[in-house]
Amino acid sequence: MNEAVSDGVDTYINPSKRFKSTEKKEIFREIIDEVVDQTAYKLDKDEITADIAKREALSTTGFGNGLAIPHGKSSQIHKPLVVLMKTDQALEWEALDEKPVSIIFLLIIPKEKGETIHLKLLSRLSYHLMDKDVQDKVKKAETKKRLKEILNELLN
Amino acid sequence: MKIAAVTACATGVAHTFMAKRALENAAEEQGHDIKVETQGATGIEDKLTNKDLQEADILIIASDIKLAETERFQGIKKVNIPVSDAIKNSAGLIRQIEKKLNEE
Repeated sequence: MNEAVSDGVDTYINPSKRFKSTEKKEIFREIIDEVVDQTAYKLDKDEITADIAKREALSTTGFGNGLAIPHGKSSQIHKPLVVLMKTDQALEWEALDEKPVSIIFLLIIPKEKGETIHLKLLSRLSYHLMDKDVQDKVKKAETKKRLKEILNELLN
Repeated sequence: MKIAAVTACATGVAHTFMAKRALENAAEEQGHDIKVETQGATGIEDKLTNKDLQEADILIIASDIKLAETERFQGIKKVNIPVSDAIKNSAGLIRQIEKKLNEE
């Protein structure tokens, strides 16, 4: 792991999330609630949830094979936050391959055009997520530690 | 085939780059050369040069937004698709293009 990366993008991981709702907007809300509860991030929950939902409404972020990459912008952060949650629930996401989603990579992006380096890290993550091997690795990973390792590799 | 492509999406952080990878994977699997330019939140990357575009058999534009510097793309055969189509089925798209070009 290199320091520039851990300094670049924060990550929050829950390897076994249980969602109360099955409705996308509520799911976003539950994810944001947990992040705000468990970290020092002070996010305007309504703002970020609405922005993620707005993006989702443009076109589904479920890109196939059970993975989704919803994203939105927040004016309260200065560097991106990657939230990774896995669940054993099968969430309806209107995904491109019509399969339900159980792995969510939620990207929270600074509203002010953040530093290019950070955005580049996110685009690299997105790029690698299309790789079947990477998808399989994420699917197999069960612990927070393992998911963190994978994320660090992808953000590197 | 030599393929040139441009990808772009609304936020310019996720789908632009997923489409790039999907197109690259599909082209490589089918034995084609490809170069994919991204027009994302960090600007134009892997920019297509005039030479790239002149040598390409086809230009795939996988975009949900208005692109920048499109003068470059004049005078070349193009296929326009939404960015999600590239993520969903680049392999099918490239096979179709090859078939069409062979028929001409």
